[in-house]
Amino acid sequence: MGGLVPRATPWEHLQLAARLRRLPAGWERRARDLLERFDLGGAAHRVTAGFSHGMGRRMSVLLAAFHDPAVLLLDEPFDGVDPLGVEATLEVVADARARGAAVLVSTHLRELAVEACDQAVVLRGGCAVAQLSAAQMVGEEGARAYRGLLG
Amino acid sequence: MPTAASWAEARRAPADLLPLLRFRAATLRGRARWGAAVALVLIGGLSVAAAWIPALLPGAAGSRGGTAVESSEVLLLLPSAYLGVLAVAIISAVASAGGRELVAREEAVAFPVSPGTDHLGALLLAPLNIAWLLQAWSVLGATAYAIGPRGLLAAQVPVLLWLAVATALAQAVAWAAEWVRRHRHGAWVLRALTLALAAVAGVLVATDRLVPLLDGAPTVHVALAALYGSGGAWVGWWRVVVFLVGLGVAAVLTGAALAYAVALRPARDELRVESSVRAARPNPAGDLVALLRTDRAGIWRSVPLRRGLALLAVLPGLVALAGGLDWSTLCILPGLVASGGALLFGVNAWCLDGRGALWRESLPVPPVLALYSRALVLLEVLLVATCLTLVLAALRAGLPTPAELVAVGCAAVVVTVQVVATSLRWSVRRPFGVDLRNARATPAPPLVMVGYSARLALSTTLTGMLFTVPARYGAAGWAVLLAVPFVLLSAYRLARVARAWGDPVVRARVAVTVAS
Repeated sequence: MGGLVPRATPWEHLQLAARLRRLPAGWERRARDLLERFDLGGAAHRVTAGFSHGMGRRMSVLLAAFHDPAVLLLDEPFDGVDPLGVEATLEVVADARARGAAVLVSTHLRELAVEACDQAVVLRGGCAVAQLSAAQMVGEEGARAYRGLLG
Repeated sequence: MPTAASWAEARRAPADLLPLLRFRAATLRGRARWGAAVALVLIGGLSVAAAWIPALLPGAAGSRGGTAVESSEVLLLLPSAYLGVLAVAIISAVASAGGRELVAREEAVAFPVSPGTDHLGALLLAPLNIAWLLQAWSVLGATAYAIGPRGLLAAQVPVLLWLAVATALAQAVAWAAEWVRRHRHGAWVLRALTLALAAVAGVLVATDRLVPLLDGAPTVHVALAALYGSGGAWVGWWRVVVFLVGLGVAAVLTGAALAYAVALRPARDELRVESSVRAARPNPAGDLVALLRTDRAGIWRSVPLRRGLALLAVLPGLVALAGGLDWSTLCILPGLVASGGALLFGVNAWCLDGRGALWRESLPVPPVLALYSRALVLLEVLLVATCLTLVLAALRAGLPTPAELVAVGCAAVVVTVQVVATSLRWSVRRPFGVDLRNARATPAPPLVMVGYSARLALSTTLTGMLFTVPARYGAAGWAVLLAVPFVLLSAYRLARVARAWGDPVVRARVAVTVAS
């Protein structure tokens, strides 16, 4: 997941990605569907320099998932994103998992991490301090365990 | 950021300048710190040399063996040269929407940097510009030559003061222009004003009234003060010095007030373009077409770059038009335009992608193709600007001989390719994270820009001058023969850049830096 080219529109980003990734004809339908899911349909032809932080983040997630990659790496995908964007991101992650892709989500938001993943690796100071199942990180118990590991 | 002007704020502005300078200096580390120190010492040394050595040259006033004619001819031109400093300073400050920023807009968000401090910072950075430095060195040198070694120090004082006053006046004019531009129809008002000024200048040139007007320029008093200083006529000298100090203080204060007024108006043009809607175009037919489209959008959809390119294309052409340059002299113009264009963005070409550079690097495309696209876009932008300049300049240059036409064409191609190769080399070797959405930002830090502009100006001017020889001697074939090695050398340099760009570590460094 990267940023956006400031003076290109979301549609131009998608055209460039579709061309260079050799997506088969008809990619436009999926692109429109994704834009609608991420609530960016109305901004598809707007220059991204004027996008809010959340819009930019949603578009970045969209671009990362657009070509159905075998590995989906999302760095802080929920940062500054509204609930609709969070929902769309979780859907994209679920779709990727359903088709057998490996998904790696890096986030500080435990509640969303456990919704998105099966396994959680807790990092402290750049080092892995624990590897748990997402179920162990759920609820109050999970929050306590998380705080304890970061402590 | 406090935007309301008050005396308390005004008093704080100079005090806030020092911590900001320290902050800026602290961002320089290791070799960069040494480089900055060496550059500042070099600029200081060159300034002293420019203000002193011409006084010792043969032909200078008071020199042994020199005739009074040579130095008095220079003396007569001094008022116009002083006025030229003001004109260049105004153009530079207006084009950069109020001068350079001491701290970039995004970085300054966390600090209460008032418009007054910003104004003083812009004044401080104004001399770190090769156009300003060359002008300053020229007038200091010309004054030294016209005055001679006797009483030179006192003679240079009013000239130095004038340089400061011209910079402050230009800064105030730039804020005023920015204030107008940010009005609802301000951009059109400014365009109309620019056209009106160009028309007035055109009429003055056409009716041969420009020279008498320049002869009566108020800057004649600066030249007189220089003479008073060298001759020990202290009453006249003091009168001008005190007046210049007063004018400078008034200009700084007016500029500060205007800076506060500008801060209260949104940058409409930039905001409009940044949220503009672009009709979807058909899907690109090839990889290169797709890359070219994205790279072109980065330039033509940027208000500051469009404005800068328009200025670069038109201004040298108008100067050539006013000066009635002949065809052989036109060989020098492409170098000026190409260097200026590269300094707008080309020397840090990947910064146009901003954070999108990381995404673009994730796309499966041969690195050479991406570099090729960037080079092509830079080449076409520079050539378009150069052609416009040459068309304007050609209006008064008469009908060219075939040799002149070929030489000018060869010079344009050679210096443009030269500038593209050099710019891309610098872009790969030393990327900087810069937000070029802001008209006041430069693609590299000010001191680095001085180095870049000096090297580009020197190499392209010398190359352009070489082509004046076949133009003057009617040797079209020699112009072509001369162009071949230059183009081959630039192609070799581009190939080396492409090889470096092929290294994923180099690309990662560039992408991460420009995205930061």
